[in-house]
Amino acid sequence: MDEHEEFERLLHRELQAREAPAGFSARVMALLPQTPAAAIPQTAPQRFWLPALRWTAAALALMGIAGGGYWEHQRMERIAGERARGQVILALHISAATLHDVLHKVVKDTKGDTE
Amino acid sequence: MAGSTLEFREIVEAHQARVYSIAYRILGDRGTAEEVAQDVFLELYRAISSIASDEHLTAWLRRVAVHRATDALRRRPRALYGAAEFADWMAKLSHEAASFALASEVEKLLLTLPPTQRAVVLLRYQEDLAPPEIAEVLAMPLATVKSHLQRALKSLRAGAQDRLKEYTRRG
Amino acid sequence: MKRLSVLTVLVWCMVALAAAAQSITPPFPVSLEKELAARASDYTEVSLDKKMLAFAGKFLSADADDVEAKQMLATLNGIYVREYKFDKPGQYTTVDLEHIRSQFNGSEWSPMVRERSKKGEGDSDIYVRLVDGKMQGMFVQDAGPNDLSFVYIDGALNPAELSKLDGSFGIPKGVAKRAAKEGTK
Repeated sequence: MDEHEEFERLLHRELQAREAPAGFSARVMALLPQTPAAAIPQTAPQRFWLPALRWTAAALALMGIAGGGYWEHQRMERIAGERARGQVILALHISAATLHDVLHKVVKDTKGDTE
Repeated sequence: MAGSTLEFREIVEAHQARVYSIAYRILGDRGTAEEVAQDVFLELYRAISSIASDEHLTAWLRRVAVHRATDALRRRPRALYGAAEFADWMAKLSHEAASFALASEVEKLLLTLPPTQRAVVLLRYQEDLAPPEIAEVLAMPLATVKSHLQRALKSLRAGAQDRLKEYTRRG
Repeated sequence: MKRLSVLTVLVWCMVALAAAAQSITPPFPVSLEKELAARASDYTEVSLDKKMLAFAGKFLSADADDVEAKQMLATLNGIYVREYKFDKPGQYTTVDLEHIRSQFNGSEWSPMVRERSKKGEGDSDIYVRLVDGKMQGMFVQDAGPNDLSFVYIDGALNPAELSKLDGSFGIPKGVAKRAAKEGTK
């Protein structure tokens, strides 16, 4: 096993979820509002596709009515916009992280100089 | 009604470790972590009728726990963000001055990461999510998630070299 | 008719010059970028000029992170980042780095951070561009044995915004105060 895999195993091991403080659930229940919540729904996996089916039908009808050209243009612009947004977020993230790394080095070296 | 309350309590007990761990490891502060974790479950109580499945519930809890914890971090006193307070933060970086009650060396190292990197590491190694799943939870581009993970691992390894010799030998 | 044609040509030249002045050419020597990319095992290159930033801004949501990003973009003319990862050390030289840094030796650019690692862990630099005492740009170069990152941000930067760029920073008192002071003179 190489060092990287060994390190990942260490992280998996050390970051297993820790226990919540004793009495946590009782404290949560005590904070619940007096009026009951809606009934806890049963697990109903078949509900998943119902909203999706409704949306798909609506989308198809809309596309049929409105005509292809205008919507296609809108769709392409939205795709391009989302891609651009992703690029911006990535660029800002890299900028922040690079700045953070540099400043972290400065702090580390400053501490080293004064120790 | 009793049935609903009992079922909700079972949900809390089944997921409290996950939610509390995410909050604690992002915030590094037990008191605030418990407050945030409580808020997450209170929000769940209000939104419970919109939860469609166990998988949905788990994903919902992860997402809300991460967002509430990182929000709580941002709302902290501006001590970390003013020019004059940077030197104080620098002292905290030295670990010796850390005011948090920390359980493990890995959790200490985690707190040297920026909040978003902490969240990505937790979702990867505490929650065992793959990067595309992490991207979905955090509503973040996949490339950004991968970049966060890469940087976080690099920082953690660099810190671990100094502090975790005993841990890595245990393997 | 002839006079009108000359006038038209002149107007078009002015428009072209104005457009050229607005579009920012990133300062990375193009040949070096290609060389670094060729040697890298993995690389990321993002170039966003003002037009692209404005376009992307329309698709940022109302989430806290996106709102912060949108506020930053409003005063920027461009963001250019380059990240290179290498399988082994020695894929770039100090001459390469100096060549890039030399582009920031002009009077408008102030070096704020200059870290030279004694342990061979790499060099790091931060330059800021000051115009009338206001920060109008930043260049960050972070070089490690197996990786290289460059960030060039062109536009009005508020020193306080530095701290909003994800996570917390440790800056020795002198540098932080100098950055804040230089920006508000």
